[in-house]
Amino acid sequence: MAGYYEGLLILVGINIIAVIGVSILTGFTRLFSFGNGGFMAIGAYTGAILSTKLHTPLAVSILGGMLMAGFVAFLLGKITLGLKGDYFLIATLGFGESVRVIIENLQGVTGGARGYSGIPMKTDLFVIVISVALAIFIAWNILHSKIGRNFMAIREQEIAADAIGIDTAKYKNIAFVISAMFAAWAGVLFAHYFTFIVPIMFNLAKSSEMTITVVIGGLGSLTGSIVATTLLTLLPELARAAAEYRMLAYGVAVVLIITLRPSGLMGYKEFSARAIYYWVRDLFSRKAVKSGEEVSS
Amino acid sequence: MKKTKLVTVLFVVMLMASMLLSACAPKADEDVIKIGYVGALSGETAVWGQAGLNGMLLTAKEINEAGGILGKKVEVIGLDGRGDPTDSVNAFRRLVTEEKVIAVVGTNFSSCNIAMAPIADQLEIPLIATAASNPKVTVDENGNLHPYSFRIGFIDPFQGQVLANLASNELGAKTAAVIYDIGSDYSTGLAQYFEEQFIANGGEMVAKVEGHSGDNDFRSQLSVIAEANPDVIMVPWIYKDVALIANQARELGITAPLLGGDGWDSPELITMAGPAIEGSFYTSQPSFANPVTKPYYDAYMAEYENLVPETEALFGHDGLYWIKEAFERAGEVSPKALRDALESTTQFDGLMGSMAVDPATHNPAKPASVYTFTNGERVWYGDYK
Amino acid sequence: MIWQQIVNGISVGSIYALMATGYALIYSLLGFSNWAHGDIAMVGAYLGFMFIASMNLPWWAALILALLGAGLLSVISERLAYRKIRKNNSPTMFLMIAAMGLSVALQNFILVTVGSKFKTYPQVLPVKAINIGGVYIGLLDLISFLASVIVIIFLYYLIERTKFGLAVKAAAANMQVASLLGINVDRYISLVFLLAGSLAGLSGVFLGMKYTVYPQLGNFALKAFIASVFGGLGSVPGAIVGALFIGLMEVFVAGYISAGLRDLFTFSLLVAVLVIRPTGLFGKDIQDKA
Repeated sequence: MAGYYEGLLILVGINIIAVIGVSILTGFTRLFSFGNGGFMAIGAYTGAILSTKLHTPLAVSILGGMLMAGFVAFLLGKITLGLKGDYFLIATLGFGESVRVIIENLQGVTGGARGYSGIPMKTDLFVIVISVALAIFIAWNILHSKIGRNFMAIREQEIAADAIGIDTAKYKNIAFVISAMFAAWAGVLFAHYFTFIVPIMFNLAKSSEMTITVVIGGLGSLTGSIVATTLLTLLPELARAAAEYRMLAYGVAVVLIITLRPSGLMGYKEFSARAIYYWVRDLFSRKAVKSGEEVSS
Repeated sequence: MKKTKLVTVLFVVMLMASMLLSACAPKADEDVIKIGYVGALSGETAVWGQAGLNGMLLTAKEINEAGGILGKKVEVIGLDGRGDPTDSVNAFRRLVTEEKVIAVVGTNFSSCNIAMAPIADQLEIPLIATAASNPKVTVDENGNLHPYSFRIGFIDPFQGQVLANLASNELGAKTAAVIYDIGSDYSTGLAQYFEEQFIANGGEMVAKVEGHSGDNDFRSQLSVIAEANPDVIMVPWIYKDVALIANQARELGITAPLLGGDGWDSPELITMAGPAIEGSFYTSQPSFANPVTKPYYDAYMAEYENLVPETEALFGHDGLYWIKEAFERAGEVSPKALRDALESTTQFDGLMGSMAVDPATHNPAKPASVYTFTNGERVWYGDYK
Repeated sequence: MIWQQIVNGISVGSIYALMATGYALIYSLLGFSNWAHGDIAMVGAYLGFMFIASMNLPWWAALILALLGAGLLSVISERLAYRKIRKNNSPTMFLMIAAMGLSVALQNFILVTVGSKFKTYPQVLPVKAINIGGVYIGLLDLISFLASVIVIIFLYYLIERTKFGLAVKAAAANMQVASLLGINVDRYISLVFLLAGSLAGLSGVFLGMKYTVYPQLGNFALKAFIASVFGGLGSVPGAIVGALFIGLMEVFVAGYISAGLRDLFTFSLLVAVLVIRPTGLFGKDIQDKA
C-alpha cells in the first residue's frame, strides 16, 4: 500500500541508486557532470515504453533502460571525455538539457511536455530495498576492484596514472557509463512508482542536486553519499514548514562544507562499525596520553 | 566489504523501522471533517496556491459558523505541492495517510493532477481539481474515467473553442497565428483546440511558432509572426510570459489583438504589460468581476489585511461548498459516499456559476468568462456557454 | 525579416557579451567558472529596481549604485568563499562547487526575503521602438548595446593599456611569481572581482529592464558561460565573439527552424566546436586541473 512514509522511503531508495552512480563518477573519478538527469530520463522513458508497449516485466524494463543509457553514455563519453574539467562539465550540462529538449519534441513517442502516463506501478518498498542493496553491493565491488583503484588513480593524479600505463580514457568512459546506468536504473524505478513522467522531473536542477549531494556527503565516500542522499531527501518532507529555507540552507551548506571541510560529511572514510570503535577508543587514549604528558613534563 | 554493506543495509532498515513506528499518526477525530488542499504555496506560482488555501480557510470558518457540515466542524489542511507533480503527489499522500483527510481540493496545474489522479483512485479519496483544465485530469488517455478525480473548472477544449469562436464571429478574424509553450501541456493543448475550432470556422492559421517558458526573448518567433501578418494572435501562456510576449510583439510593430486562456488571469499582467495588452482578450473562470462575489471579496480582504484575492480563492470557496452540498445529499460522512454524490451532481450553485457534472467524464458544464482590457483596466466582456 | 532577426540576435548577444566578459575575466585570473556570476547580476537587477522604485532615485544614480552594490557583493563572495579555498590549495574544481552553492544560496535568499513575484522596472526608458526601414529596434536594446560597446572598449583600454591591466595579466599568468615581484595579488584579485561584479550588475539591470526582475534571472548566465566556453575560456574577446555568435544563432534557429530545438542546436554546436578545438575559438591552453 502506498503509505506516505513508505512513499518517502521509496523516493530515498531511488535517489540513492542515482547518487551512487554520480558518486562513482565524481567522488571516485573526479569527473563533474551536470547531465545525469538526462540519463535518468533516458532510463525512465525507455523503461516506461518497454513496460507499456511490450508489457515487459520490471527487471527487463530496468535492463533495457540501463542498456540504452549506457550506450548513449558510451558514445557521449567517447566524444567529450577528452575535454578538460570545465569543458566536460558544460558538455554534460548541454547533454542533459538536450535530452529534455528531444523528449519534448518527440511528442508522438514520449508524449512531449504533457508527459507519459499509464505506466504500471511496479515499484514498491520490497523492490526498492532489493534494488538499493544490490546497487550498493555492485558499487562496492566495483570500487574495491582493479577498476575502482584505477578510478581513484585518475582522481588523484591523472597525469601520473597515464604515465604508469593506465588507459585513462577507457577508465573514464567506464566510470561515465556506470554512472549513466545507475541513473537509468533509478529512472526506471521512478517511472514505475509515479506512473507518470514529465521531462521537467529530470532537468538541470535534478542533475546539480545529485552532484551537490555527493559533495556534501564527501567526495570519495560511498556511504557519505548514501547518508547525504537520505538526509537531503527526507529533510524537505519532514521539515515542510521550512521548505522555503531548504534550498537556501543547501546553498549555504555547500559553501561552508567546501571552504571549511572539503572532505564533506564523511571525507574519504567509509562508515563502518570498526571505524567508530577505533574513533571512540582514540578519543579515550588521547586523553590518557595527554594526562601522561602532563605528568611527565 | 561485507561488513560495510551489512551496516549500510542495516542503516536503511533501521530508518524504515523508525519511520513506520513514528507513523502512528493520531486517529481521525470523529467529530471533525478534514479536507485537504494541495497547491503551490512556494515558488513562482505561489500567489495562486496561497489564494486557494486562504479562500478555503476563510470558507471553512464561514461554514463552521453556520453549523458545519452535517453537524460536524470542517478543518482545512493545506500542503505545498510547489506546482510540481512529484511534490504534489507526496503532499496528497501525506494528507490522506497521515492527516487522514476525507477529500482533497487542488491543484490548478494539470500536470500535477494527472499525476495525482491514479493515486486518488488507489487511495479512494476524492480529488477536486480547481483550474486544472487538461481533459486527462479526469479521463486517462485510454478513455477510462478516473473515478475519484473531479474538477470545478472548465476544460481546455472548451476554452479553445470559445476563443476561436470569439475570433471568427465577433472579431471577424480570417487569419490567425499562435505562439505556444512547448514545455507546457496546458499551452500546447489549448493552442491545438483553438486551431481546430478556428479552422472549422473557416479561418486560416498563417503561423505556428513555439517557445519555452523560462525563455525571455521571443522576438525571433514574433518576427516570423509579424511577417505573416495575422488578424489575431493566440498566446496561451502564463501571465508572466504573456507580458513579455505582448511587450515584445508591440515593440516589433505587431498591432493585432492577442488572445489567451486562464493563464492570463492575474492583476500582475496589467502592471507588467498594460499598454501592450490593450484590446486583447482572454477566457477565464468566472471571477471577481461578477457582482455576486462582492461579499466574499470583502470578507477576504478583511480577513487577509487587504490582500487582493486571485481567482483561485473562488475555487477554494466553491470547492468546499460543493463538498458540503454533496455530503448533505449523501447523508453520510465517508469518502465513497462523497464520491458518488459528487458524480451525481445535477446542480451546484457556487460563486463561479451553476454547474452539473457529466458522469461519464466528471467534467462540469461551466460557462467561461471573457475579459478584455480597456484604458488600462480589465473589463468583463461576456459569458459564453 | 532577416534584418530584423539580425537586430534581434545582436541585441540578445550584446547582453550575453556583457555577462560573458565578467565571466571570462574571472576565469582568466583564477581558472574557474564562477557559477554565481549570473546571480550577482540578478542582485544588481534587484538593487537597481529598489533604488528606482522604492527610493525614487534618478535612473543614472540607481544604475551606478546597483553596479557598485553588485561589485561589492562580488568582492565579498571572493573574500568569504573563494579566497579560503585558494589559500587551502584545494583543487580548482572546489571553487566551482563553492560558486554553485553561492548561486543557490543567493537565488533562494532573494526568494525568501523579497519573494517570487516578478518586479517590473518603472518606465525610466520608454518602451518605444525605432523603425528603420521596416526593422524595429527597441530603444532599450539600442542603449544597452551602446553601453556594452562602451564598457568593452573601456575594459580593453584598462587591461591592455594601463599598469593595472599589466598587473592583472601578470597575476593571471603566474600568481606566485607575480607576488614575488611585489604585486599584491590578493588586492588585484579583489579588484578584478569588483570589476566583474559591476559588469554583472550592469547586465543585470539591463536584463531586469527588458525582461522584468525575478530570482531566477541568473540563469541567463548559462548562455554567457557557453559563449565564454565557445570563444575560449579566459579570453575576453573570445567571450564577446562567442556571445554575439550565440545570440545570432539562437535567434536564427528559433525563427527559421524551431524554437523548441534551439537549445539542442546551441549545445550540439558547442560540443562540435570543442571537439575540433578543445579550448574554444580563442582559448588559452590550460593545464590539467586537479
